[in-house]
Amino acid sequence: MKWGDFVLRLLVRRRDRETISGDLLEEYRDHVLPTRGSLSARLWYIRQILSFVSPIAWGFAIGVVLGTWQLVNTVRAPLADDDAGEMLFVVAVIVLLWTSVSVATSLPTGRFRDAVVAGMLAGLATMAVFDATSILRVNVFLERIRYRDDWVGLIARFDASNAPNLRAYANWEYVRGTPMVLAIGVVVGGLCGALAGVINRSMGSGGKRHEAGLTTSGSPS
Amino acid sequence: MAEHLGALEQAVLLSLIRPRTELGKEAYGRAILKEVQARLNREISAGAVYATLDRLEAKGLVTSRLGPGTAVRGGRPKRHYAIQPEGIRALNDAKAAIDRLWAGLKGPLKGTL
Repeated sequence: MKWGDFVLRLLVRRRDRETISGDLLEEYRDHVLPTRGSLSARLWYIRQILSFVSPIAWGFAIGVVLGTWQLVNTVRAPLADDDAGEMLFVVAVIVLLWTSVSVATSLPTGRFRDAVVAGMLAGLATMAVFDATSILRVNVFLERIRYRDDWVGLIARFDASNAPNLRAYANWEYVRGTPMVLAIGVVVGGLCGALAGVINRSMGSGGKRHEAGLTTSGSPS
Repeated sequence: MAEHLGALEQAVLLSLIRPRTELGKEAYGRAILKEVQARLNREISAGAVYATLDRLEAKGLVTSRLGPGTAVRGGRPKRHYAIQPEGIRALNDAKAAIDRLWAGLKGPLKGTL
């Protein structure tokens, strides 16, 4: 799994690249592959790599997916109203993802605070990226989305303003709303983190049991 | 000022003081990971243990040095860790805090479910 090693090296500090990739390779060859078999060992390797991804990076990735989804929807049907069921589904998925990130981040320490902080960071990163793509959407698709039903209010405020043009006004409104968008991410992410903290506590010490080490060799390539 | 140590931080520091396995005595990343898993009796992700080691090193509770690699790890070097006096002090503080908490109580506690 050379690509896995490549990703791992991107995720850890330069100082630790060789040592950590060596440690994982050694464990993979010495213990995991002989005891679990090829497929399970590969999944183990991927899981270990994912464990180096920070809550901020997870939040960033979720934001990229969310932002892309919004842009694709705009291209497909720029004037279509947001579907309530679809929006609810997306929100549920995001809440689930933020909670999962918080659980995964805080499980080793078991600290409630770590879970909340992880949720807040994931929420902040997701909403920062989503807000950036929303502003991008305004600038790329302005001539099409200006006729959306949910833009009626913004257009009315623009007409009543002294703004030089709609693009400048729309950008100003979106940027002005950025602190609120980020605050929503932090608050909701924090709540997801709190839920994760409760889940971690309810799981208690019942984690996966550790397996004893063996000795044979193999290769994740 | 006393450092507040989490369960994982304590497990890492304890594995450096008194390893339970031959591998653990080498005190490099993989060895510490296995020791910690054995102490906590559950699977811990590598990322969590390395993040803890980073944190402990930043606090000055452990130090590290590079050692030679072996064939099974593709010749890649090992980073060996050693606990510092500040780390031992922090562990003692953590144990004292737990002892104070349990003062006057004898386990296992009896109760109704």
